[in-house]
Amino acid sequence: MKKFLCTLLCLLLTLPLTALSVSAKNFVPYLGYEYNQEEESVPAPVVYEPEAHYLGAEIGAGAFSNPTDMCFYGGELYILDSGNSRIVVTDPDLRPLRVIDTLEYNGEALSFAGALGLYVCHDGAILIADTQNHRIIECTNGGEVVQLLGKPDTTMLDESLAYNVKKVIRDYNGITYALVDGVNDGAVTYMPDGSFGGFFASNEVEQTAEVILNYIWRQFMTEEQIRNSVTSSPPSFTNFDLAAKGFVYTVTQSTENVSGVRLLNFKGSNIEQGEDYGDLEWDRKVRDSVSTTFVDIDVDDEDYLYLLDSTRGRVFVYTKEGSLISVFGGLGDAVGTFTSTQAIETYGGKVYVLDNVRGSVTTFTPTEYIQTVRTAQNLHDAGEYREAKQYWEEVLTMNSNSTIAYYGIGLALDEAGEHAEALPYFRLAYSNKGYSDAFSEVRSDFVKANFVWLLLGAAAAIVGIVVLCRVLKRKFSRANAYETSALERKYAAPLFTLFHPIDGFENLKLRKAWSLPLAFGLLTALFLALTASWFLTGFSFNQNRASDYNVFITLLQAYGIAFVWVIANWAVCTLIEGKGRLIDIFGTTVYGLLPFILSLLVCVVLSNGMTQEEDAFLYFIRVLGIVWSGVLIFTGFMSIHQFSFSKAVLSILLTLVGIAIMIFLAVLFVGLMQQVVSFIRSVWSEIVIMM
Amino acid sequence: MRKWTTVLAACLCALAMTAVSVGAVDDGAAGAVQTPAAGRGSGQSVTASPTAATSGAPAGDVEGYAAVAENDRFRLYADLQRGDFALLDIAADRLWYSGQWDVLDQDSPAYDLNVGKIKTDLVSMLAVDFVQLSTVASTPMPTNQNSYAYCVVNNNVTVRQVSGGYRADYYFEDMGATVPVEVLLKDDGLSVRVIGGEIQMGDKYWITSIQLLPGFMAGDDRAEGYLFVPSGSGALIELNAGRGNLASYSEMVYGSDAAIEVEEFEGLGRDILIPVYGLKYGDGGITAIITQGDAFANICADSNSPDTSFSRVYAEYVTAIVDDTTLFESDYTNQRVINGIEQRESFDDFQVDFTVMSDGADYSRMAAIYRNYLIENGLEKKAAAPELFVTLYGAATRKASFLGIPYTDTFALTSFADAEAILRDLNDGGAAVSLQYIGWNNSGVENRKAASKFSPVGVLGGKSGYRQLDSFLSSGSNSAYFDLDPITVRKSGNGFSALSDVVKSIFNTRTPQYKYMRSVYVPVNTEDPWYLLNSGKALEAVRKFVKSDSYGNGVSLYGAGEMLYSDFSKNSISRAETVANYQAMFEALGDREIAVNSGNAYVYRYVDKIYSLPTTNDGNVLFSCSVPFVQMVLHGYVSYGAEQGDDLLDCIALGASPYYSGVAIDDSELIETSFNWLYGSSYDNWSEEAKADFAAYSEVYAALYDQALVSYEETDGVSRSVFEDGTAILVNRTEQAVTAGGVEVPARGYRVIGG
Repeated sequence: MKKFLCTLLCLLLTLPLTALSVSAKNFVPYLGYEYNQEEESVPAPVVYEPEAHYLGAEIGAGAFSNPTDMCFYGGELYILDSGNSRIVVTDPDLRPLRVIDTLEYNGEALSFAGALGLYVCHDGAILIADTQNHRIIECTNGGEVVQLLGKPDTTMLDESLAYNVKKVIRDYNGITYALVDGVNDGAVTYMPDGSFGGFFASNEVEQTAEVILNYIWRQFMTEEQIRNSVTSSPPSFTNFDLAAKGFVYTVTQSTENVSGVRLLNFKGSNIEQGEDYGDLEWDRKVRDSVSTTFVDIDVDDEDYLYLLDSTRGRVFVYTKEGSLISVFGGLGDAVGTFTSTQAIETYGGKVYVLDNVRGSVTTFTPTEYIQTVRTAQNLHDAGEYREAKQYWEEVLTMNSNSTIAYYGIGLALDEAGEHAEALPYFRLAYSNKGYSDAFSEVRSDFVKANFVWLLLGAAAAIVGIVVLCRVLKRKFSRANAYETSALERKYAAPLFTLFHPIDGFENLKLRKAWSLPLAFGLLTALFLALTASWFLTGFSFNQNRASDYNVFITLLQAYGIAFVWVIANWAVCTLIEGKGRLIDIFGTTVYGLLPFILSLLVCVVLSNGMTQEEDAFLYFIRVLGIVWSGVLIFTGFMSIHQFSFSKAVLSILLTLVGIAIMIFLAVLFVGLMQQVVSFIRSVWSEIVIMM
Repeated sequence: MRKWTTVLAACLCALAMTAVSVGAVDDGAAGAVQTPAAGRGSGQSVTASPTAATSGAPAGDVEGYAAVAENDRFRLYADLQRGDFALLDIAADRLWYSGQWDVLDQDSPAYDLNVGKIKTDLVSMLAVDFVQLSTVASTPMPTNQNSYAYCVVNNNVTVRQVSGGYRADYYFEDMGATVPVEVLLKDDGLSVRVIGGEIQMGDKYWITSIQLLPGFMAGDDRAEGYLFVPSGSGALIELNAGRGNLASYSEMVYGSDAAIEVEEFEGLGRDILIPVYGLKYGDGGITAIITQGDAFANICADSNSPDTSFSRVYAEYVTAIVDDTTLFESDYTNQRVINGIEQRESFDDFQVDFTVMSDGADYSRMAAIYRNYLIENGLEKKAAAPELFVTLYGAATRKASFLGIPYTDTFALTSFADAEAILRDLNDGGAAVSLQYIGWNNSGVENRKAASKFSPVGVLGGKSGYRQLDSFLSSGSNSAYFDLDPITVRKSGNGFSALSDVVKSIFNTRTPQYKYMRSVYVPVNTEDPWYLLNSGKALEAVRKFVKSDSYGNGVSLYGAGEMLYSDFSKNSISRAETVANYQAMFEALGDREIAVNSGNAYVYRYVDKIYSLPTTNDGNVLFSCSVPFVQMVLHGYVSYGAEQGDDLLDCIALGASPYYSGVAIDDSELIETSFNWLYGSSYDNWSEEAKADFAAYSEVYAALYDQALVSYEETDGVSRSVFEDGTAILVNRTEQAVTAGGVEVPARGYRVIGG
């Protein structure tokens, strides 16, 4: 099956790519994807192709044994071959240049087997996070040990702490940052003279609803329960990198959420923080999401972030604003996939990934697609939308699913004054804001061009409405107090009750003048109005996708809620001696919904001519519709049930309780039926298997 | 399935650890059963296979072995106690042993470098995986036993001479099973056969696989040479690549079985297309062709593992499939996984023919040997003059709604009129086209009911639209393959049931086929799975189609070339029977031209075009480099197209027709559909590039399309392809001009020499 699918997918990859590598092309063992607005993965071209796979033995440096970190400095790659207690220095093509394996300090040979971190500072000094020996070794590039940084003598660190240093970096001011196992207060810092410099940038516990809830629960738990429960300790960094301007990027493995990334300034305060890093989809069937686990981060010359994931062996590439550019890599046996990812570096446009189990370095080269995207994105970030346009257009010929490309072209067209042309691009980019802005220009152009006609039209419309109102008023007015007007007749009744709820509904009840077909017609109108507002609301306000429309949910909204409400109210009012019959309740409810239905339709129409700035107006109409309907139904109930105000309020509250009970029972029933069905299915499948 | 493999891996690890003691047992036993190297202790060292026989006595006897057969080139020696052999290449004065005996020689460096179970594997005729039937449902614990440590040491081998060779029956005492092997000398080497009909098993254990000659085609890391592994287009593993810690390679020939449900996608791979593997060792070499039972074969290769100094390649006969299923799947607390095992009633023979190359062995010669084998079995030269390979997609479906009422909307990606316009445009640009038209019939690209009759999709233009396209095709110089997908179904209808006629797992439940999320590799939840008609029913569907289609255009059966599957239901259909059904499909199509995708070896005799023939291997980290082996086998005989994304240089170097695929509509219309994988595929995006590529390609291959590709070499980004008539093509993929053999080849360019 896998094979069939693979070949099928290969068949489906229809993008003409130009191979950039000089050697014969390599097989690309993974598929490209991006996330759309709804956090669904969408097919996209591959962004980096595997170039080569280097084993220690193959490059002539001897087999690597559990290499744990690597670092580029001055065009040379430093690989921490941890199991062999040595550092192998190679050129960017992995040709070995030298090996640093004998470190002496005060006449004693230092071993750093099991070290997890390596950093080469801007002045060439090498820092080794010598995990097993609880220290940081600083040596010169020639291999002479300068100093050892051990556990700082401070009360701020627990005495029993083993002080296993995992990662280390040093900034341009000479301050050393160390990540230590079990330290949750942030990175331990050392001043240039080696003295303790306090903690850097602790991650705070976020006050999410869950954390607060946990806190409340805790007040009721026994001590044992508390011990067994998950504590809300702050997530600690798993790795960091120093960016060009002295900023520090950190990656965090949080317990429940996907991993986070933070950009910190030298004081350790947040500049950027994001949560939506890593894979956003999960297996809804199994329900246990295996979230991304970031183990390393690298920031390249153009401030793009490369985050290395160990759960699925992937590399995520983000802009510095935190929007996902692309994903590549994976787990597997092919070049370009990994057994266990450990460290990532970028150099000269290439990406280097270290696999500690295989003991190998894999290099990746960018495809034409990602290069074009980056060119366009850089121009875009610099505000040069019009220059970026041609690159975005090129991107689209390679990936017609690219929302950022549509957005970029939309902005470029908008800036160039071609507002109407920009609209479809913003639509494809799901950018309601962009669309709204462009639309407001289109509208004002239209108004400018047709000002006179619009003015005349508006005047005519006002006159028309006034005249119409007069005519209608004359036609529908009662001749005298004992007659009913034309509006009070059976089929026009909902219009009459719009303005006269109390006597209107009472009359309908007394005259038994409800029309069931009309009532169902109104519910159907509600259904159609809801459907129309899903599909036809102006794009400036419409975030619904046609493909997400669910007819059953809409039917439930239109008919289901009304039925439940009517039945609950009927049941309640029978108990508290309401005088209304079932049909009165139903009729009142449905006729009373008319303002709401009308407000929906008015919003649909108006939204096509408005921009996001004028949202308040639409909001007003919507609220007006709801309040009006609410008032109608409330006063209607007062009159049909002959309730006092307070009793009517009570009946409504009880109705809501009744609805809650009905929903609870329905959920229970559905859940039970599901279990029965799944039980029968499983028994059936077992029978089938046994046979 | 994954769990099963992890369990297997864990067991193998455990075995490897305990096998140190097995090694110790062997030492004791070595004296008793006498190993050629250690036991004999003669002056001439016998260190690795192959070995130069004693210089003084080329025709003389090999100590401890009896000569059992002889022809002009070879003499076959057998050890009548152990059942292993040595093959003497008389002219080359070279002995090929069935195992690497110096791993048992305490004086040899190989003794210490090879530890654990692999030590005795390297001297075994076969190794067998057993599963205990009583525990298979809960914990299928596979046990691997090799013939040396478990049969030879215990004297449980019966050897008898037969005409042209000998036969050895290995009795595995603990398991109560016997596996008979027959070794026969043939003109150019030997053939080794597991006699399937005479495999015997006890009540307690079932054989799941038999690894044949696991130490025969092997070389240690001091040797010059390589292994050939048929992953995708082909791959080489250098014998002295250096030691590391890499997993071994093992893939099923013609791809894994689609009757096994894949609940989690495992990344892209490359199937094995041809049942061929090889060894080049020094000057000589061996080409192995699995001639019987290829549909049940795995090809395995090892290198770079810490417990051996040998790299090796061998075939494995898969005799049973173990699969798992989850009961009470929606109930997380009570769900449980049970395993099942396929229990075939009879076993086919499994035969590998080994062709020995005396000198000048390389993969080009291996390809020639396999090509000759195919020619002997009916392959003919039928390559056509250069054509541009194009795949167009016809109709697709999307969710739509009218006044809130949802329905499935069928819409055109490329209508019949569009297809004609595209062909005309390409023709005007100078390109002759070989068109594969997918999704023109039935319900479009994705079948709902089985595709068993001629019914062009209405939105594409219906029958009249088809007629018009047909008359255009018959007047022009293009060839066309209308894809018939007789295998996939989503609903019952057209005479086939999506319940009873589809492929089932060994648990007798339908095997669903999924599209997977690219992000987390689990099935997408927005689309329903589909099912596969079993190959017998698919054959029926093809026959029905042929009756209802009077146009007689070429037919594409893309699945038949790239996917092989069993059906484990009551009336089971094995992979080999599916191959037979596929071949019956091709025959049912009569005179129509046939195209397939990917191109598994069983189609070569029947098809005219192969689309998307892989141009790379699966990129396994074991592989040292990629070789276009399949291209060398096929060029000049069957026309084939490159893969999507291959550039012109790939096409020129490998003789593969440039390939493009796509749709006529604006691809931004596909964003919110399940066809968004067709991104960037609008014809306008690739029309000019396609024309330019074809012009360059046909200029080179107009004279070469029917010439066999006899050798291919590549160094530092410069490749040299040599054809039957002596023409050589130099392709330079680097950014600098290079001079090769006195000819300057421009940067990212090519040169044609001679011819």
